Amino acid sequence: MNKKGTIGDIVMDNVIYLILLIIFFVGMMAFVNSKMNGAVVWEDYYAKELAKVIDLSKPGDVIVLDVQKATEIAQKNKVANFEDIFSFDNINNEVCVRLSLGKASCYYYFNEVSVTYDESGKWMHYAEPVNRLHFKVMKGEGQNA
Amino acid sequence: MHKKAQLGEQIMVFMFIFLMFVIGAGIVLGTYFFIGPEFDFRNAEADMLSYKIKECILNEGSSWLYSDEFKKNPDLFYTKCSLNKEVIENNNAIRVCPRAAEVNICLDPNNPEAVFTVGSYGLCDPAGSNKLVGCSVVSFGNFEVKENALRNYVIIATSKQKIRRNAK
Repeated sequence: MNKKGTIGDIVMDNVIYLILLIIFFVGMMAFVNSKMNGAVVWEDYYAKELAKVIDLSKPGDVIVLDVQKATEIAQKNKVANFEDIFSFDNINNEVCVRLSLGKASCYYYFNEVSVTYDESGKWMHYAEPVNRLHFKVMKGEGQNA
Repeated sequence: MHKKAQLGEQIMVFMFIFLMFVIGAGIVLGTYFFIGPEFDFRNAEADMLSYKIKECILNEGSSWLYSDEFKKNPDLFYTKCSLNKEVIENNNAIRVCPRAAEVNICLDPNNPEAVFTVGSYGLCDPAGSNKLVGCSVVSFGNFEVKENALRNYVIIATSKQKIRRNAK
């Protein structure tokens, strides 16, 4: 084999290795990114954070939370109505978050309070400058008056 | 090309693919363990529960813990401390020990000083295999007006709650 042929072979081998490496790297990045931006991961996060906020709140508190990331993920997953992202069940003391068309992630809060709309009468407030969730914490059924 | 060189090249390709596989498996496993299943909230929840009970005893006073009304109706604990009975009974455990000098005394199931116990607080057993995940122990001093003395309180709170996927 002549020298030119040998050099060509070496370059070709390295190019193939490099292409395989890039494909692998991009694939891995896409995998990690999909996991980090997955609806289930963020549902888990928001449900637990909301339960924490409610557990530490007192009747009369008005809570305002930045939920921009949640709305972005919900939009990506074709959730049509953002008012359905967060739901509060005051009978079972449960908060549920749904960022995709599938099931919702739910978590119980032990604080005996009820969660209702604030004065605006809606959960979601858009572009303030980011999307925010507003709610008011009231006395629960089992509490002393 | 020389036969030996061809063999060497084939081994290199195999090594390359093997390395990619090992690194890829490492990244997938690492991602799964770090962000895959769910982030553990049990310790934070147990801490919040013990904090809430401590605040309740400090704000409401401790005399009701020894009252006949409380002995007759232990559910008064939930009302006084603003806790939801069903949620606590299904996901948490609480044990309140007034006059307990240390945690081990409160952990003793035969301790007659424990005024309130709900659920299994075995998560807080240091001899257990659970490594105390979801366990919170708070110890604090409270001034007892009746006895005119400062008494030590131990509160044990646990959480075993996990996220649920509901079709809501």
